[in-house]
Amino acid sequence: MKQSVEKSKVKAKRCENKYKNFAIASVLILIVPLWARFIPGNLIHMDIVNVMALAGIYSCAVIGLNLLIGYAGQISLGHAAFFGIGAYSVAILSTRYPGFPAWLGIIIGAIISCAISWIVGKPVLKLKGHYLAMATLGLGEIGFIFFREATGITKGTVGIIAIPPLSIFGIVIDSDFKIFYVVWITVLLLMLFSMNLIKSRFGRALRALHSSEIAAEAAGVNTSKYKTVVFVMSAVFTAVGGGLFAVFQRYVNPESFHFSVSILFITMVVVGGLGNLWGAVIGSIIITFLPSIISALPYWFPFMPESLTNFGNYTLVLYGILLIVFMIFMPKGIAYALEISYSSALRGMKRIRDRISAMRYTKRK
Amino acid sequence: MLRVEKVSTFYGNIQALRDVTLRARRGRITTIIGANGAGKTTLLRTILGLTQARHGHVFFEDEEITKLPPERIVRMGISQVPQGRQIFSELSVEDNLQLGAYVRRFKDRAEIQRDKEFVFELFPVLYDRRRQTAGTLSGGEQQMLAIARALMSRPKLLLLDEPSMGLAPKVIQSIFKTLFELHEKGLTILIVEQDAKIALEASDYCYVMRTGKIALEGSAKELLENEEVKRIYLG
Ligand SMILES: Nc1ncnc2c1ncn2[C@@H]1O[C@H](COP(=O)(O)OP(=O)(O)O)[C@@H](O)[C@H]1O
Ligand SMILES: [Mg+2]
Repeated sequence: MKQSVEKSKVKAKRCENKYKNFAIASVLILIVPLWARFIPGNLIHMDIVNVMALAGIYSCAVIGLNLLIGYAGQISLGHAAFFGIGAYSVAILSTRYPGFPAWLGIIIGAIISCAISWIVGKPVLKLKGHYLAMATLGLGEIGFIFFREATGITKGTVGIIAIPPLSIFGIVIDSDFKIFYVVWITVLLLMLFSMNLIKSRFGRALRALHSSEIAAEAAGVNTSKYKTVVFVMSAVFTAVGGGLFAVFQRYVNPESFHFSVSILFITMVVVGGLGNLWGAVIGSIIITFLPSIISALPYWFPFMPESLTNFGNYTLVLYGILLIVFMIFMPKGIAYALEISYSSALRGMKRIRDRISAMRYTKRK
Repeated sequence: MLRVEKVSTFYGNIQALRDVTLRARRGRITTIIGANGAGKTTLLRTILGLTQARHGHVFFEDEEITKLPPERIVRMGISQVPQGRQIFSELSVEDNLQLGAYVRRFKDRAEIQRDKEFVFELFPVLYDRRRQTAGTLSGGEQQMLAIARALMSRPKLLLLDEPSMGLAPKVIQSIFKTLFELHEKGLTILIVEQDAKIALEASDYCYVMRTGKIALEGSAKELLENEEVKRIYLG
C-alpha cells in the first residue's frame, strides 16, 4: 500500500514535469514573433516569423510521420501526397465556391486523407521493410501525378492561385504574424495529443510492435490494426499541415508535393530524432531554416561563389547527405543531444549551487 | 484442456501442418519434440490464432477457438513464450511485463500490480533490473522475462517455444525448475523442444513431430525406451 502511494506520487511528479516542459517549450515558441520584429531585416536577410510559420506547417506532418516511423517503426515515402490532399482540398473548395470557409476545407482535407489512408493502409502495411517503402513511394507518386495531370480539378502545373485567406471567428488571417499563431497553436495541440497518446496503453503497444511484432501479437496486440490507425493518424496530421500550407502560401502547385517533399519530411524526422516527440518540431525548424540561411549566406559572407548559394539545385542532395550523416553519427537526432546537454547543464548547475552552499556553511562555522 | 483436431496450416501453398491431432491435459506438462522445420512453431502459432488453420479445429476447455483472434484467445487463458524470446528490447523490464498484461482491463490495475509482484518473487533478478531496458539483460534473464511476461496475462495454459534455445545447461536447469514450480501451482504447460532429452525428462506426455505430422506419441517413459527415439533424437 505504502509503495503504491509513493508510486503515484512519483507518477504525479513525472506528469507535472511533462507539462512543465511542454509549457516552457510553448512559451519559447510563441514569443518568437514578439522579439523577431525587432531584428532589422537588413541584418539577417530572412523573415524569421515567415520561416517559423512554414516550419510549424511542416511540423504537423513531421509529428505525424514520427509517430509512424519513430514509434510504430513503419516507413512511408509517400506522405507528400497527404500533404497535397490537405492543400488541394482547401485550394479547390475555396476558389471554386467563393465564401467557402478555409477551416472547413482543412477539415475536409483531413477527412479525405483519413479515408484514403484507411483504405490503402491495411493492405500496404502488411508489407515490411523495402516492400513497404516501395509501396508508399508508389502511393506518393500516384498523388503527384494526380495533382499534375487532373488539370480539370487541380489546374495542373499552373497550380491554383489567389486562395482566399483563412478566417477564424471573423478574424482574417492575412499576415505572417497571425498565421504564425494559428499554425503553432495547431502544432502545440497536436503535440499535446501525441504526448498523451505515447504515454497511453496504445503508445506502449506501438513501441512493443516496433520492438518485436511477433511478441506483440502473441501478447494479444492487434498489430495490423495498430499500424493502420497510426498510418491514418499520420496522414491526417500531414493533411492538416497541407491545409495550413495552402492558406499560408495562398497558392499551390504540384511541385510542393513532389517525392522530394516526402524525403524532406523524413529528413526532418531523422535530424530531430526518431521516436522523439519534440525532435519532430526541432527537426522541422532546423531544416526549414536551412534554405533561408544558405540564401542569406552571400549577404553575410559577400565573397562566397554564387554557385554555392543557388540552393534550389541542391536540396535533395543536401537532404540525402544530412540523412546519411545523422543516421551514422547521431541516430538519436538533435533533440536527444539537446536533452543530454540540458540535463547535464542542470546537473552542473546543481553541483555549483551545492558547492556554494557548502562553502557558505563552512565559512559560517 | 487443449484439443487440437486434424489441423492443417498452410503458408501460401506450402503445407506446414498435416492433420495434426494432439491434446494437452489439465495439470500436466506435455511436450512436442521434432527437428528444425518440423512445424512446431507453426503449431503453437496456430493454437494462439496468429496463423489461421485451413482445416481442422482447436478447442480450449471445450470451446472452439479455431477462428478467434489472438486477443480473445489470450484473454481466455492461453499464453505463449515465443521462440527466440522476442522480448521488447528497447522497453524497460517493467514495461515488458505491463505489455504481457495487455489484454487485461484497466480496472484490473491492482491485480496486475499484484501479479507483477508475483513474477518478481519468481524471478528476483527481474526486480533488481525492473527499470533497465530489456535489451541489456543476459540471455537467461531475457528468457525469464519472456516467461514472466507471458504469465502476466494470467494463463491457464502456457505454451513455450524452445525455452532452452541458446542457453547454458545451468540456466536451462533453473528455468525448468521454475516451470515445475508453476506446474505445482496448477499451471498446465505445453513445451516445444528440439532438445529431446530435456523435453522427455521434464514431461508427462510427449509427441514427436516430423514434416508437419505427428509421428509418434506416448508417455515420456515409453518414448525414452523407444528405439527410434533413442536413435534419432537422443543420439
Ligand atoms: N512465414 C513462413 N512462410 C513460409 N513458410 C514458413 C513460414 N514459417 C515457417 N515456414 C515453413 O514451415 C515449416 C515449419 O516451420 P516451423 O513451424 O518454424 O518449424 P519448427 O518450429 O519445427 O522449426 C518449415 O518448412 C518452414 O520453412
Ligand atoms: Mg520453431
